[in-house]
Amino acid sequence: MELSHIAKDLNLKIKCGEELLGRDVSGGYVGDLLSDVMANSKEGNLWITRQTHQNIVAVASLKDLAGIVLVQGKEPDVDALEKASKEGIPILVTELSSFDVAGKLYTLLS
Amino acid sequence: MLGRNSISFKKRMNFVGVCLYNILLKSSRDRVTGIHFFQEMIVTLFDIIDILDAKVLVGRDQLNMEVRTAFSADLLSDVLAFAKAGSLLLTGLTNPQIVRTSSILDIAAIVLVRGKVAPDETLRLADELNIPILSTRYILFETSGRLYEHGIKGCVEKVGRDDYVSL
Amino acid sequence: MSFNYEQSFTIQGGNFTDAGVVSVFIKRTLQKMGIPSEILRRVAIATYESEINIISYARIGIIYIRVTPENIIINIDDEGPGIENIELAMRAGYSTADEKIREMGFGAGMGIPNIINCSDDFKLTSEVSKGTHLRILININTN
Repeated sequence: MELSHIAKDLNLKIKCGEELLGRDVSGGYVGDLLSDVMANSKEGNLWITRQTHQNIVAVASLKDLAGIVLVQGKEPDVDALEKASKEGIPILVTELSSFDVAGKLYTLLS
Repeated sequence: MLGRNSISFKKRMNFVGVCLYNILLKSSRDRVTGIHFFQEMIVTLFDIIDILDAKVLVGRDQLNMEVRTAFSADLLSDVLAFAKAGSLLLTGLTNPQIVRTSSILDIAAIVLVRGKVAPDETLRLADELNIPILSTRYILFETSGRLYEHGIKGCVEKVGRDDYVSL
Repeated sequence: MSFNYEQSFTIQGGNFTDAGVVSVFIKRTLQKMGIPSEILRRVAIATYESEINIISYARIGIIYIRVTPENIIINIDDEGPGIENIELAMRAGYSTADEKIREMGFGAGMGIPNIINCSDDFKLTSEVSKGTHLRILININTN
């Protein structure tokens, strides 16, 4: 499913990478520990997390993730945003919790 | 892709049966009538074992416990900041702090994801503090998704004042 | 209702295995005294985050709690590296935690903000390479 469709359906706010929303999302991954996401996420996953520092961009980029959703009203750090724009990783934000975003995305993808 | 077909038709029907049974139980207990009891689905740890194909690591005697909300996180400070009493904690962490954090917040039960088995000290502490621990092979995403589909709600309950803005 | 209680607890830095023992004990004790659950939750979170802070950063620390009919005062004194920039430490998301603390699920820069959110009054002072002093006041609303 296209990222743009998910963003619209879940009412996610786009912080960067608007031009990349045509990307296909293969599934979701919820995780706040970078080592876990590095080890277990799959290419094309939309990553749901509360981490906001720039290292999330490196992980998303190395693992070819479709994008990052920051939960609970978190905003990306300034350097994370810069890096994400440069590396072509869309960052989206929401007030919802990880559980709710995962639940809605799971339902949408089923 | 998401392995949704792995819950067989039989299991699904079984689940529907359990839910109806629970609704009837609740209606007779609370004398709730009409539409009301359809709005609030009761999910017990027994149901959750079924939904998540989970194993019970601690708390076999508490599986009748009902839960309505859940919180998914790998950061305990977030759990402390947001999780509501009586919720399920879904996490990839396995250290004893998940149990102490749950005890501090009156978290009802813990679900370990990705087939994690907690170390003995975590299990011992959970036993001592009376906090059930289940383990499922699903990733946190699918664990959350499956529970959400069965009517469990997310919870974000900010404690105390809220003057703090994230960086 | 009238509440009267005071006690001190010593906490060893680096003792991650026992992190939370004191807070769980304080919570149980106050619960038995009949402290309202909303207050109890705030006390438990504030003491727990403080305990984690001592274990993560200090050599040794003392948590002192006093419950009166009107309020709960928690004083936390530790001997340790202290905090270089208090303003930064009080901001959500700022942390100097190492990988070990992070993998345990802490060190996301939420500890002190969580404590502040649970307090009605809060004072943090620190002297670099000496230690940190934290004073938390939580009112008991009896109406």
